[in-house]
Amino acid sequence: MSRYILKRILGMIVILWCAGLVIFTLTYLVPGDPASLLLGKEASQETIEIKRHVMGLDKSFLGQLGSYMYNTFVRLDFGESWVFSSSVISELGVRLPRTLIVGLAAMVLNVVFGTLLGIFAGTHEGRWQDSLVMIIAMVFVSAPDFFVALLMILLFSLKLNWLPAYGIDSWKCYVMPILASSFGGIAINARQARSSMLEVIRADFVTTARSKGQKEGIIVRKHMLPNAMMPIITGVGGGLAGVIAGSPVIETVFSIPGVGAYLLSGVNQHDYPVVRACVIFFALFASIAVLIMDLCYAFLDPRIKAQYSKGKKVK
Amino acid sequence: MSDFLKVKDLEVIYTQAGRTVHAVNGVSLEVRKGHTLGLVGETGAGKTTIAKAILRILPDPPAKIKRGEILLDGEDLLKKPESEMLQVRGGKIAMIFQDPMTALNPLMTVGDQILEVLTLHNDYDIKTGMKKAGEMLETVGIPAERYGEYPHQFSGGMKQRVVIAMALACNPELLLADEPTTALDVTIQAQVLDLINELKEKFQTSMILITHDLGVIAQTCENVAVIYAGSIVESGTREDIFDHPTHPYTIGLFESLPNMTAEGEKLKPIAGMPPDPTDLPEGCAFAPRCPYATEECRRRKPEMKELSPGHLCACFNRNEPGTLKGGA
Repeated sequence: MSRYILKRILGMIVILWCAGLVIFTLTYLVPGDPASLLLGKEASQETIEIKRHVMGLDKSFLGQLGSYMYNTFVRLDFGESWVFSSSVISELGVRLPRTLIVGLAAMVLNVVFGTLLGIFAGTHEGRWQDSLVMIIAMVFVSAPDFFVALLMILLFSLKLNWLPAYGIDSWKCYVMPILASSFGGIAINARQARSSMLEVIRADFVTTARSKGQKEGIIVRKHMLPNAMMPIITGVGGGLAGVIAGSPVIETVFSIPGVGAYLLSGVNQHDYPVVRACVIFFALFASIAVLIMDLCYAFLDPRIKAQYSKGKKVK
Repeated sequence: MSDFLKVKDLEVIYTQAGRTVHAVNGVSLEVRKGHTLGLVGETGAGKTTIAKAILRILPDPPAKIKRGEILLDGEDLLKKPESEMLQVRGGKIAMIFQDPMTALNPLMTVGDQILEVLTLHNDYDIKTGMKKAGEMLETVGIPAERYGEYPHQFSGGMKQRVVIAMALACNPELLLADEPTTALDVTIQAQVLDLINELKEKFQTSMILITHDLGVIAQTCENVAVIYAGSIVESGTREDIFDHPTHPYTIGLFESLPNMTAEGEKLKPIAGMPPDPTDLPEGCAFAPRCPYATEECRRRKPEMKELSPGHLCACFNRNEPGTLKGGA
């Protein structure tokens, strides 16, 4: 098992290298000279040339790429923002917790309520409870999160005056962003959980459990749920990888200075060090999330565990 | 000896997309204490449905037990509340399933799956329960050290042994064996059958053995019921059925077996297909395939008639026990 994890971590390093290579090349190919954009229209050609030299833009592509890869992956230096002249990594450090609070809290709501609703709907297949849950889920799957967010602002901020509409001044500010970004996930997860429950509900081993005289509630918990967990974990793992990227939409609607908003401003202002650092971070967290997901599979399913630790023979 | 299990006039339907599937149509059968009843019939004849109806583990919806009585020691199981049925399932009545590949939970160790049924019906603490589960594994010929292994680490035959261990763990009075050997290859089939017989005798268990294999019936059963399209068409002792098959369907079954003594004789399969259970014929369900069918057979459903003591047959045209060859 530990060999497997080590192998995966080595693979992760390769993935990050590739991500760095791709994002550097892509930003290099974007038309427009960052130095002249930064200095504005009035700057003289001479000033622009000096700025280009300071930013290292006068070197060849390979030269720029080489020093970027060296700085990023060997010295672990992500550079400074061209626009704000502040260290990208410390800015990320400040913004990351805000994004994580919203993302992880929404994720927890998503897993708990989505899965429970899905199980509830699945075990009441074809009855009115099932239809009710699925109709609500359908609404929230279809409704874009910014739309839900705006409706919530209208109701809770403007009409009832319970919650602030924007900012990060108190815990109250986080309530609406968390809820608004969780509804879609809850709905998707509920649908996923329901369909994977339906797959196991008619499984032979469930009939076996019934023929033993086991109570229905325990059958759901002990026999159905673990076997239905795989697709649910896949969905959650994918969501977890997205958590770090934050939701630029939600962060914009509620004016939260998080990672998503940072990336967005970086793209808009051709602030490539910010864009590159954000992308590398997203890749890192995404691969960690996928690794955690795969380890969850192994923890749940002895067959997958046997595949990971090749030492033992699998029949 | 009195009848231990008595099923009277059982009718089960499945409703799916507005269509009604008549899976079991007025089946009556009896099993005596310590005896084995063989239930033979084609795939889809309703054999498994009968077994699941006895345990009341049919998925509802779509299945519905429309009428009938299932008397176990004189008590009607269909009238029992669900809470009492939980005690019956796995305790008094246990079931062995058709496909050992899917009948075990892939995420639980085999020992724990046996432990589950043990602790449900006994007041064991975990330690005694685990010891008993280990003993059950030994009983079916699996070393107790394999308690902590998962189903995927076992072969098909071994898995079926685990399923049998699970079914017999609480000394059930009635065992429902649903094609216990169908998914296994022939050598393992024999082992598993021997094992079931041996354990049945050891624990004095009554059994309903569901199969479409007449050879299996010959090896294990005292009594046989032949089922066609959800109805029993002929029943009697093993000798009645094997030596004096009377119903045209039963005769057809025997004629479609290869004969080891007569050389070069072609098999005679039963012509045609079983009827569509959503649209059963008005009269005898076998009439469309029956060489003896008359106008009456197509209009009216034949009742079970007693040909000789204990030997019943539902056919208008066959009124005395047949003989194996040359029977009409």
